[in-house]
Amino acid sequence: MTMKISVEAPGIRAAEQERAPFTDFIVKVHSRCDLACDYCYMYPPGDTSWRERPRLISARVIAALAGRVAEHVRGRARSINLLLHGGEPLLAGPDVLRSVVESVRTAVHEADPDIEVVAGVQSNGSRLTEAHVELFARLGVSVGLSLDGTAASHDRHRRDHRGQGSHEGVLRALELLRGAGVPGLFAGLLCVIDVESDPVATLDALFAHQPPTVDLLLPHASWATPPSAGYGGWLAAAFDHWYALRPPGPEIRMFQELLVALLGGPSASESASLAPSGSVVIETDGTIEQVDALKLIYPGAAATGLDVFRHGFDEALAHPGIAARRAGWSALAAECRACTFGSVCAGGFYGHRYRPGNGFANPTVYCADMFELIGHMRERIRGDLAVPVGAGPWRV
Amino acid sequence: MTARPDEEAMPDLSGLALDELVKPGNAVLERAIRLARARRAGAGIVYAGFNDGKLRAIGSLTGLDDDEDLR
Repeated sequence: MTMKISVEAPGIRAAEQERAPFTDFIVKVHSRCDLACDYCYMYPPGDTSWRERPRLISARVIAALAGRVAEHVRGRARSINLLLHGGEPLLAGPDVLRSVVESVRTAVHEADPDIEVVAGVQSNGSRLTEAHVELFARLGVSVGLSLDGTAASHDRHRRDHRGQGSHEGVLRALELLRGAGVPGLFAGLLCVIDVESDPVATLDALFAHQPPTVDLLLPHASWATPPSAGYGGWLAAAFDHWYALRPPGPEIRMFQELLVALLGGPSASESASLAPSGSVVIETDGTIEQVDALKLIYPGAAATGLDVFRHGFDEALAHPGIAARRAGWSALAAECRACTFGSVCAGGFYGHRYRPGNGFANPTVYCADMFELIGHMRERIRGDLAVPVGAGPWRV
Repeated sequence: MTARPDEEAMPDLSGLALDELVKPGNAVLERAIRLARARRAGAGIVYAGFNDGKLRAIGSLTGLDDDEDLR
């Protein structure tokens, strides 16, 4: 019952990449949130599309979704991820959450009994109850929580609509999850980086809860709205702290994937991979969208014009916006293809490449930060290899 | 298997055993090398977390068998 990460290349043939199915279905079960985090991409200024969507996913959407997922993955995958998302997914209530998981699993199993549906929920934790925990344990749904490091850092950004911090609520949720004693129930922590915070204190605050995995996320930005400076140094300091832990600490996916890429392997990270993206979003009204973080770029940037009632996911694969995210090396900017670390950072997160005027054919707006981090990691690895080597990446 | 764009430029250390490649006591680097080697060896690998101290590969399109223990 552990969330799994799909990796589809560059270890597979190009033709297989082109027809590789979606493997990560991000289902918006509730379109509203009880928090108002200051960096949230779901409700950006100028984009009111969320107001027009139903708050709650309906039984009709759930049934159509389940059928579309099943027809799409039948005979084409061995394992898929079903992520219950929002807004805040726990606002949907236990019955709806159970219905989504059971409906998709049943439809997929009937279509292809060899496919495993790995289910998870990503929550802010504020509404997690014992009833949720019992339900998730029974269904085998893992729970990821959002926690931005220390209480001070977390409450600086993750506040409710009255301006109150939400850190205490996360701690209560963590107690409930750990208290259940169910292996795999707690999937890990997701932390948006606050460059003003201390990186070591941030990681220690996360590690104190013994998460299986930690996702460090760069705040969403683009060349239209660049971030502040300092993320490269922050990440390098965080990497040093994590890398030196003995015994090894929780897996930090960003660092783990960049290490693998520096060592000649394919990365599984959505933010740094040449592999075709396997993710697709289904909104509460059944519309099919690209990764929702694109909503920050401009109103409607994530839209495809498709929905689960009239379109299959194969049609979504052919959508130009989604196809561009699956084009790998050929979709990178010329600067990235000429860069020493081009195949390591792979242009960074797609949304971070956007520049008004030429779209996504740019390096990530965090290019200088990523170059600093990866260069730093390369030198640390070089010092720990037992043989003298030139500059990496290396094929190990 | 499709080569990485920088495949030819990468120094090839793939013939070295882990204890020849990594200075003693660096479990994080060893873990990353195991993972890189496993992914290069198989296609469409899916891997789970390290909460039980193990890497696992699960084939998706082609490649390694379900729950093959890599450690």
